[in-house]
Amino acid sequence: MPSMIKALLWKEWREQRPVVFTGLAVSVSMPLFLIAGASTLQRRLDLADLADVMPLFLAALLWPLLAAACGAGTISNEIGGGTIGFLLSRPASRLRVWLIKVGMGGVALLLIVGGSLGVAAAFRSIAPGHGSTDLVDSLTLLGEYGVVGTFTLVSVGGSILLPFASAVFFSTFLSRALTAAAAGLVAALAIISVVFLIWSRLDLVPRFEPGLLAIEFGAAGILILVAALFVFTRGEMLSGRRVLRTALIGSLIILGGMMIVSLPILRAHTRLTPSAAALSDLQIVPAGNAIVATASGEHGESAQTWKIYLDGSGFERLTGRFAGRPAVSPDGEWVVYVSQRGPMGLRSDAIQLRAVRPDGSADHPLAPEFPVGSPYWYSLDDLIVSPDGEQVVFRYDSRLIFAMKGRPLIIKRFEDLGFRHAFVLGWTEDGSEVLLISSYWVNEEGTTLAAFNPKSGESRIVFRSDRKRVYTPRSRYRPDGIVLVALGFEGESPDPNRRRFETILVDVRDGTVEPLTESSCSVAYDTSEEARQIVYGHCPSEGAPASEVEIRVRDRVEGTDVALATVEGKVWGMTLSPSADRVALERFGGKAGRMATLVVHRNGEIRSFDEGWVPLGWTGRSGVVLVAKYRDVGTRLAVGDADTGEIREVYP
Amino acid sequence: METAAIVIDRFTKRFGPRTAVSDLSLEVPPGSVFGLLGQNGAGKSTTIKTLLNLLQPTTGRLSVLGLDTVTESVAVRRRVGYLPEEPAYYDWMTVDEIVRFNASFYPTWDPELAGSLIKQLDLPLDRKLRALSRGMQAKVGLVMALGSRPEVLILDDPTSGLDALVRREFLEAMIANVQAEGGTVFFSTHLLHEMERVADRVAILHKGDLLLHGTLDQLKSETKKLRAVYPDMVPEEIVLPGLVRRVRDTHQVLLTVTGYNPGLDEELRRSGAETVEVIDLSLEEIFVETVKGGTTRA
Repeated sequence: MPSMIKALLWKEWREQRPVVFTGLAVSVSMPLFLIAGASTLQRRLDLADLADVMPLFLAALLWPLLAAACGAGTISNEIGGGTIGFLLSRPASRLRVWLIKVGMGGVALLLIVGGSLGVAAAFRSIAPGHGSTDLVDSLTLLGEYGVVGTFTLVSVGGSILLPFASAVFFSTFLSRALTAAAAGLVAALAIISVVFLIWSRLDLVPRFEPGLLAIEFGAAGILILVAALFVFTRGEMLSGRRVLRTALIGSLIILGGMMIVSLPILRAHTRLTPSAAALSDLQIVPAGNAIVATASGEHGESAQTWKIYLDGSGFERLTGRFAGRPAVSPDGEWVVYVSQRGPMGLRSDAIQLRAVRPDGSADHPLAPEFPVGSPYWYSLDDLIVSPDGEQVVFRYDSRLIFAMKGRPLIIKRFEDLGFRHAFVLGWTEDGSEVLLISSYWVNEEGTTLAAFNPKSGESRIVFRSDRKRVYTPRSRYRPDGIVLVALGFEGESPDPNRRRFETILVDVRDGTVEPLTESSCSVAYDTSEEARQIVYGHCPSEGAPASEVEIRVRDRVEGTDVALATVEGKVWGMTLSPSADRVALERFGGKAGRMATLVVHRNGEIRSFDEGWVPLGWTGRSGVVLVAKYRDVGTRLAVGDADTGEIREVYP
Repeated sequence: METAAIVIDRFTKRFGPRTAVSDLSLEVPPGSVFGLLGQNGAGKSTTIKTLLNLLQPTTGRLSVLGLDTVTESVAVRRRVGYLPEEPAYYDWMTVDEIVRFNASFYPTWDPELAGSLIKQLDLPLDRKLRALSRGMQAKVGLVMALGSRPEVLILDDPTSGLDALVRREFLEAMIANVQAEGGTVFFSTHLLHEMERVADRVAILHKGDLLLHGTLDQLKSETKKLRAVYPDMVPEEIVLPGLVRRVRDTHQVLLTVTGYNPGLDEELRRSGAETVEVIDLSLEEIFVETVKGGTTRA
């Protein structure tokens, strides 16, 4: 090694040495600080817990501080001490001098990081409760968090490289190391905040991506170092206005570089894409040409509202992140959704009902925000828009929440309405009342169907039975005046496959009851316009497993009730076509669980679609909208031809 | 033809709106002792720092020993010994450590020469620099500037930190030492008598402008003050070539000229002067006259 490099390394080490020793001393005494701090806060001291939090303490506090100290000392000390002129007038290139300075600063920092990790590991190995006395084993402490990648990558980028690089940058033109360190820390914090903000604001990230975050921080750190090198090599004697100008150019290099590095990465990897999205809350718009849905990542993160065209022409994002649970108004003019977006695109502690046109325009709040707790709005039930499109109701915990145009929210507790828990079925035909039915798993006191008028605050009992409500397919309710209620029998079988019940139709206007089946195993049903025709499943065979269902249709005007076909499996859902001459069946049963969707025609003919597809509704006269991998990443949509049984995939 | 040791060609240096050096052109012949004279803010240090690429020229080109000061700055500094105006060293180092640290940069470093200088200057090797006086630190700087046997020695107002004894005995000896090996010395100062004693060539800078330059003898022989006495009033207009400064009284006028020749006496007599006296000027007087006159040489 040339003697000049050796001499420079020696000098730099001598200058960084105090920082290294200080850092190691702080690391060694850190367990004592933690113990002292914890003992003032709580009586019982858990050393094992303290040992566990130590790496986080290191990454969040000690490493950034010492990284900034190592970085700030590289050049500021030379400027402040006036030695920069001496150094730069020696016959060595500035590049070489800078590399050695920053390199030795990095070595010093690594020694501190390594030493502090060693101290953390040693503390952990001797902390009672961990049972591990092996120092090597305890070095893998991070692995037990299951966040090795996250912790390591983000720490290296955000806690070490960024503060170090920022401090180096400021040290190239600030004469006080302390100022440079402080400026470096502030800049690093600002960059971290900006990166997070960009990710959130631009809705680019479907999930927390430590790798990408580390790339961002790492790229920022390297760019800052490049800018620092630029300032150092171009900054003449590193003082005065020219240096400030050079520093400004350096800052622009950082910003420009960040943009160049970040945006393609984010664009390519982090935007929620159909292949990475799980769709839920699917709803066909009244025009029948599109679906609105909540799209989210694998674990429900980054939820947003999409509109997907059924002709295969793609999709549109109707909302940003933290906004979903869409419901389309009956006239199709508005998509109402729940938003938990804060002002900067971050998740807020409050939720707000908003409405947007199906083309994404005229996004506006429907009601004031109201606070929610964990687990955020996912615990909300579906929004139900009134027939006039001006009122929205939904259930949140044990409360009913009404939003009406131009009015404050009305929040009603179920207790006040005589329920312990209830489902919201929907609005009555005229939109004046909301129908509630007692939840089937807590209805020890029987079954109650009630109507509540949010404007007057009055409620009335529509139907009441001492018998337990077994199951009512809430999603099949339409504002057409009747509700199907399934009532259980005394001493019913605990096996849900053998459970039988009586189904009745309740007229919500006057509470009159019309028997549908005396004893059946199916509650699937659907109604035609104005509830003239009811298609329902019936499985009368006593004692046998519910492996077959008879599909029947009742005409309530003509008084006929005929069987269309008998199908295998358990029918969970029925969707009547707009012309009421076909019904799509969602079935379960057999070994596979989910069975192929069937379409039963009025003449008894049956068309079958491939397995895995679940019917959502109808588009046009004969198109069945099908979904696969519902609520799962990689949700697919197709339109099946009810006449031929052919499937045309339309999404993604 | 022998290459000039230092060539400064139309060099201008601006710091924002302020012009520190304006369109300076100079050549320093090899083996010469070149003194750059000027008040504070004249542009001396700016010029010297630019020669070492501590600053970069706004316009113009500078070279040392034929090497461009911007693109070949490392090579330039390798062959140059430099003593800055107000040297600052790593005060945590001992004298021995900083001399060895400095030596590592120079392939031509002569440990014997450095050792003899240290001995001659009575420098304590094991003392930290922070424990040394300013004068002692300046001596350390001299050792570091000379130990590499530089072909060009650049001294930026070096006498400011030295006591009179060192200034007189040592600095002159150092310059002589460099010259004896065919080296060139380029130094700036604001102390005229120092300059007069050691320099063989001089340039006078004032507020970034070059007022005069040439050999010391040339300047002294060609720069004169003429006292012309008139029986009547001194004429309003007196035009002389190389006129630097004019101080007018009722019956007499004092004229400082560069490029003096006896023909000027005759010209003044033709303008009505009764007597014309030619006064020799010291370097200090030349400096004062030209700086007060503020005009560049015609």
